Amino acid sequence: MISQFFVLSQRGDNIVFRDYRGEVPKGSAEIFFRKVKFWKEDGEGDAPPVFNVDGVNYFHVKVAGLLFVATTRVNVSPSLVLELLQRIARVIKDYLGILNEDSLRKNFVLVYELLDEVIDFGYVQTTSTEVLKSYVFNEPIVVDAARLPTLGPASIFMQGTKRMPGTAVTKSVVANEPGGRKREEIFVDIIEKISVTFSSSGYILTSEIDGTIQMKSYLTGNPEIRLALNEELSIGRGGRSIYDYNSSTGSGTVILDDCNFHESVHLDSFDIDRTLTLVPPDGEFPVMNYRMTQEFKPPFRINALIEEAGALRAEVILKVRAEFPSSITANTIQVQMPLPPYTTRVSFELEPGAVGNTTDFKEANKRLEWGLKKIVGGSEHTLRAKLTFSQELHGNITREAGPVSMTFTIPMYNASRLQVKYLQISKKSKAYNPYRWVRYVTQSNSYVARL
Amino acid sequence: MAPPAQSQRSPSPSQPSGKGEVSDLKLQLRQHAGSRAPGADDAKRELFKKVISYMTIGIDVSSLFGEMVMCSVTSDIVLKKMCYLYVGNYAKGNPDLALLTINFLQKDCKDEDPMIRGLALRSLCSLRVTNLVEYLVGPLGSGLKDSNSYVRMVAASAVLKLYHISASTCVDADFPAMLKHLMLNDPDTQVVANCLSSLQEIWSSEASTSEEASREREALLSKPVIYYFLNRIKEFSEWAQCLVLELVANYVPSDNSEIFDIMNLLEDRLQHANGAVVLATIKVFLQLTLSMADVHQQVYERIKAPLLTLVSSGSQEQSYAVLSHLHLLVMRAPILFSSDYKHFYCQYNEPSYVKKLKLEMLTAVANESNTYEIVTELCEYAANVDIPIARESIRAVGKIALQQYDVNAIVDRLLQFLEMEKDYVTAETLVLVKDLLRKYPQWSHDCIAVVGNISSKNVQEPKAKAALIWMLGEYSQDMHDAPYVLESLVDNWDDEHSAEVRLHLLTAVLKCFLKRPPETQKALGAALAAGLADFHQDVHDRALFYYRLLQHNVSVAERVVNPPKQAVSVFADTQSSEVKDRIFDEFNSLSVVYQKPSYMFTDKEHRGPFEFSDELGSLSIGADSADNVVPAQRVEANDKDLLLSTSEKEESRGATNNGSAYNAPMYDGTSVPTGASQLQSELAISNTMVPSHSPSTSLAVDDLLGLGVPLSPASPPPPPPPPPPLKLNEKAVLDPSTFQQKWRQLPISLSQDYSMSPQGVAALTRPQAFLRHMQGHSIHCIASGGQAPNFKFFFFAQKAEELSTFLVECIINTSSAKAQIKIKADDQNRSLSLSLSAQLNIGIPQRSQRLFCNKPLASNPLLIKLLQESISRIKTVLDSEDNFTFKSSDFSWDILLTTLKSSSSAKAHLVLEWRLEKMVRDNERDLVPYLELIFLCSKVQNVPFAMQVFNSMEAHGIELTSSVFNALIYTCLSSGNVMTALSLFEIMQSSENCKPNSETYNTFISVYSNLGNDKAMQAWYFAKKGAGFSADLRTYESLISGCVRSRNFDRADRFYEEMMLSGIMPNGQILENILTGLCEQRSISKVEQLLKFMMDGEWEISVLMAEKLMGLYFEHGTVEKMEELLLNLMNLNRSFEVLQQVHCGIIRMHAMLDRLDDMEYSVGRMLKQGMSFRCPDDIEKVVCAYFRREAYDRLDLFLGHIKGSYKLTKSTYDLLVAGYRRAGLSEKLDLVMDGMKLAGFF
Repeated sequence: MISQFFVLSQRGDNIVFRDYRGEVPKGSAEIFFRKVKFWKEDGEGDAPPVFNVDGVNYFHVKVAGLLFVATTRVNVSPSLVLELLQRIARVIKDYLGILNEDSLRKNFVLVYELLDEVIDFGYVQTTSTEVLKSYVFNEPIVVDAARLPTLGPASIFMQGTKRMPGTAVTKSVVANEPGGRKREEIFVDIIEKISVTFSSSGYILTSEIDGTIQMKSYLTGNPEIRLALNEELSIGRGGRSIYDYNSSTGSGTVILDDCNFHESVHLDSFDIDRTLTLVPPDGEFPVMNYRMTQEFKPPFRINALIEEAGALRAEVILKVRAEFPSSITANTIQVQMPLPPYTTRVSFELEPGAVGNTTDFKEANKRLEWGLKKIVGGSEHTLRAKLTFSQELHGNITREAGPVSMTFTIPMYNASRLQVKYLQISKKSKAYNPYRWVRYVTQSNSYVARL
Repeated sequence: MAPPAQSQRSPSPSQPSGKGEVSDLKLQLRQHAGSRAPGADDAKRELFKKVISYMTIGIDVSSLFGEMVMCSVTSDIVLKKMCYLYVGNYAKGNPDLALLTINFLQKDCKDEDPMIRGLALRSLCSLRVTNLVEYLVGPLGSGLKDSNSYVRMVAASAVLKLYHISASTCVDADFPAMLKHLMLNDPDTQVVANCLSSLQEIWSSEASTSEEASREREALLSKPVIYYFLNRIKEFSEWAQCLVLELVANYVPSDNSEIFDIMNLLEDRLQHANGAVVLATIKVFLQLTLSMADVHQQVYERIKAPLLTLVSSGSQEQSYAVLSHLHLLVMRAPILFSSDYKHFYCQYNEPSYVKKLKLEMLTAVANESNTYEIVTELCEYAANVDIPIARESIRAVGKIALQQYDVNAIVDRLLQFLEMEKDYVTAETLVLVKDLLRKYPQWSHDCIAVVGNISSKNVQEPKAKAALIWMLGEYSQDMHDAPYVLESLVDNWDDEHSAEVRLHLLTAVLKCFLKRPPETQKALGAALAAGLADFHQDVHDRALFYYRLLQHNVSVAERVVNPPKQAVSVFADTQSSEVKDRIFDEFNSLSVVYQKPSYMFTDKEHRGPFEFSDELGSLSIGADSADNVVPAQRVEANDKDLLLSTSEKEESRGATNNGSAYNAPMYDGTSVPTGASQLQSELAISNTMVPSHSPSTSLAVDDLLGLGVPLSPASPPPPPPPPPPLKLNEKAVLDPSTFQQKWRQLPISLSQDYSMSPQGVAALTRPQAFLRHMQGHSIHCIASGGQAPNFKFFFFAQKAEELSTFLVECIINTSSAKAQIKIKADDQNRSLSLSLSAQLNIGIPQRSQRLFCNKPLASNPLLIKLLQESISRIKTVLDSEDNFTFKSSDFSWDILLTTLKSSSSAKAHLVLEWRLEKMVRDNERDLVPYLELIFLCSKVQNVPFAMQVFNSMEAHGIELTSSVFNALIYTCLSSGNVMTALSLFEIMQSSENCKPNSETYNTFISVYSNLGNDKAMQAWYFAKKGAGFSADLRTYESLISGCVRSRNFDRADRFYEEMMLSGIMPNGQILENILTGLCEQRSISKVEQLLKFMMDGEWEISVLMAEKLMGLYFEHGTVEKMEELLLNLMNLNRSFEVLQQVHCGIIRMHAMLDRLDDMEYSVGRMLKQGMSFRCPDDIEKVVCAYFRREAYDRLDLFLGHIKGSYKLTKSTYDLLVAGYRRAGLSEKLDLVMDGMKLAGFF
């Protein structure tokens, strides 16, 4: 049960503010914003998503640069409220197409309409985009999609790959295409976030894939969908330790540690032929989340070296090798490395012929940053950096710098080898042939190499 | 709505500043007010939008109220909604104007569009204006009966809104009853869910004043309601599911099979993508299995994977909420997570609040097998750029070092930290090294060598500086320049801002002086002078104290300041265990995230629906909770606990046995029974003066410590004489005011202390269970209150025949597992109070800990196969199975099915189906296999299938006999399906050749006996007699065990006599039950009689009987009887185990009375007969006795004696360690430590 819900902009303005129970004193938004903003200055890092000020509990999630906040005085389930906030953001996005400060300001009356039905007197009524359709009468005012960053993992398809229709992921569930006709299409995205930690000698210390199969359907008449995954898919690692790398059973098997499903999914035949059956509701939702610690081939190998080169100097060599097929291209790669705190100057040296590279030394937090626009599979890239120090080194320089971390996005690639074999839409008519998009993408979560 | 601090923020250009715009809007609204022109609605929309947006950003637009209402007459639904929103916001501040809106809202409530009706009703009830409530009742009443579910859904929550505006209007209009009806009957699940949440809130808040409401609230947790919700759970939305699960978590199932049913039903909820659903399900699982240790552990294993998946899917915020819960579970049972440690490694991009949790989890799960890897990982973080996390990591390494025994490698790592020469790393490490040295002085050499190299100038943080100074003082003889370092520190006295550092400096200089006088004299003088002049009081006082001490006598000073240090074994835990338990009870709530129980951060009125209220005056409950203990004393307390635990175990066994074993020395053992009861009656009143927590155990410890505290006469009374049975009125009533009045007037007629079993304490975490339990014994609760660990309850009871009332106050401290009960009675006859107290004693819940999940997995390959196969393949597997397997002697369908059922009832069903199909295929004509199959159905409680078997028997023309019906009845009854069983019985009665036979009645009797329903059992017994059947051995066996189970001992005795008279010889089971009953009644003479009968008839004495007997003798302190029994048993050459039981009982008795000689004799006698101790408990009793008498050499001898035949457990070792430490016998201590090492406990 929550008392208030509000959305704040980055500067702390109320964009929507709904008080459901009138139990929390006025000024809660102000109190909240101040607390979050100055949290860091108390030396405690970011504000946690839940905190208590004078008996009022504040919950918040950050979505698209906005703060979605709920307050209550009651000892509620934090998971429930945070889940709800996230869900409200998703519902709003389903309706507005794009969620950002601009679209929210333009459509705040519609958002109030939604909020009226989502929560009544603090209790959640529904967060189903579909159910809410019958209660919403405002037409969304569409904002220009191209300029603004969008919400959600699916937004990555906007960048780099021209194969995807850019409007698809930013289309409102209620708005029609120009011409009044709705385009029949369905999107299935397999999005994987990978975490790898390499030891200083280059072997893998830990690795994990957190994946989700995300669906967004614009099909009319709610047809049933069958989604077939790899037949060689097993779930749960039985009694074995999850980090037991020596136990890869056959080459084709994908072993998930665990997974969970959206409530619309029927698992009747999942045990037998690994197919999921569902009637997709409107809007974006995760069909299945999964987690895998089975050994997999990391897409990038990082080689990092730091060496003393005289009393006040050191040299850093960073090598990144792409270990995926050359038909695939990773984009927006960023490599970062903290340098010793007494570093004053850094000069960079790229390979001859390198294009689309940026190098930078961030003075404030003493960090080296190396950006690459894209990396083609199979290629290798090297950066040399010469460091100048303000004081003499003592002790081991490798303890003063690092670890190297990397962020990237690789479209049409997934490390787990989990696949959607087919996507079947049951509809009688022959002429009915909606667009089906099955897309893969891999992103870095925590990709770290130690020195 | 408008934040007062609004003006402090500089208005952004897009935001209007207020006044001018508002009056502008006012004008425009007026223009459009009555307009019906085309396009007017569009213009209004724009205006309304502006108003709402001003409202949102905090500009006060309440002055537009009138105009807004005037504009609201429209059919445009978007306009309506905006208007409702506006009105809801400002009505409270403009109650008079709000009246204007009532009209159009009421009209809308009758609109033909259900959407408009719903919206209007919602807005109408959201006005929050008290003087308008009369207008709400009508629309609300019709809303609840509306044909459209949307309107009903809105109405259900609108009732709650009304309740918050005017509770009396809501209750008087009988809305709660209407909600209840809707909740149990509405087809729409969201309506049901809203009814449930509204009712929970209403009844919880009404419960404090209304009996009825509190009964209704209780009724929400009744079996039919819970099952109603559970059976429909999948129809509910994910959010409503959370609501239902939260309710189920408070439900107390009647038996274990019910628990497994619920868990099976909910298991797939663990795969839900919504974390809130998963956590709510986990809470149900955890709460249900609290009293079943091994199943509870299985639950942990089961929920691990789903929790980890939730942590890694979803946003950072969601994952934090889940991780906090995982953290709680890890802290509760680190061992279960020790192989998952890699999941708790920090990722570089995680926020620090997540990293902190993970570091704590890593610390907790570290054990011998993973410490190396964990510490290696933590050392990586120590070099982290995020300084707070780096600090936490170093602390984590230190904590691991302190909780591990093999710290060798860790110390090396810590010392490496010092070489990193980062200020904060050095500072944290110094503090840790100091703590390590306090626990492991043996490391001093290595540490000192490194610490000596640190320049004190590089250490600035007070904590670290203090640590360094402490080490300089403590180890000044090993650190060459210690005096000089200290001297330079003293020189800079004035620059030292921290009093803590100055205090340490004083002490260190004095310590150094006592070891190296010539070098330190100068520094000491300077330090004392500076200290005496210090403005900080503590520093000044300490300097003065040292000064006088030195003046008095230097060698005394040496003894005071520089005594040999004892290693600290356990550092105190920062959070008390009851706080932790409380947090665990509040699983899936903010308590887990904040890591504190809800009462620490919520106001009273917001504590959730099931917090119970405290009524009846001010309940100031003794402030003696452990929270008040000064941390320094905690260490002491911990060591004490080590000893206490053994004696407390003893106490929890017999709840009324308050004369704790250790007290025994105060009486002459032989005359206890008479002497004690006299003493008790004298003490009955004065006893109430004694604080409830003067448990005998603390005396015992004092005694053990050799402090020679005189045994005060105020120690709790010995067991009461057997109370006469007391019949209570089941439906007694008493209103609170009468209760209060009586409580003030009446004197206390009895006051008693009880110990509770750990399960009892666990059950008390939800007081409902306790209250229901008491109600079951016709003792009713009138008020309750308190916070963990202290609970207070007021009960009353009435005698069945007359109007004599008993009032009871019960104070329970869950942390010490003690309950104190005061009884006041109309009838001043003390014996009545005593019997009531006996009944109360039953009421202190002691949940049984039967284990249902015995899975003999490994023994049966078929079973394993079946468990692994998917449901669709079950029959194929069975088909493929060799016929031989089924015929082999050690194959049991019974075990196969029960085990299978516990994992999947569908599979069990398929197995049964397969068997039936096979029999039909084989054209089986024999009756027996069918009967067997029906009995198997009873094992898995599958009544429908039993009926199916029955049908196919009929279809195959197999002749039906009474035994077929008997089997069916048995299956129905054991599945709890009484109705079917009774109709089967009727069928039998009316049939020709299947009349009920003796066996039929026995079935009923035995099932009711097992259920503990002695009334129904006896009714069937009489029915049997009436039908002309005589009772046989099986009948009596069921009757007697049923009576004993429901503690109706008199009846049990009567049945026993009846049986003997009719010439039926009892069997072992019956004798065991009778003996148990007699022992419970403490009628020693009857026990003797029975025993004689058994000895004469050479009946087997079972281990359980021996245990009961020893318990009884033990209470009475009659060693002679024990010896007699032993002699008798030895003559009869009884089983080994029974003899052992008796031997140990005798030894225990002697040990309690501190009769070392007798004890040693008994031990010797037992060992000679080739027997040894049964359990560590007995040994610990003996060890304690030696410690109390300070007979350490004899203890050595004793230990030497039993060495060959008994392997000491860890708890015994701990006891020895603690005892020797108390006694200051370091050599023996070392020996014990060595012993422990050898035994592999390190």
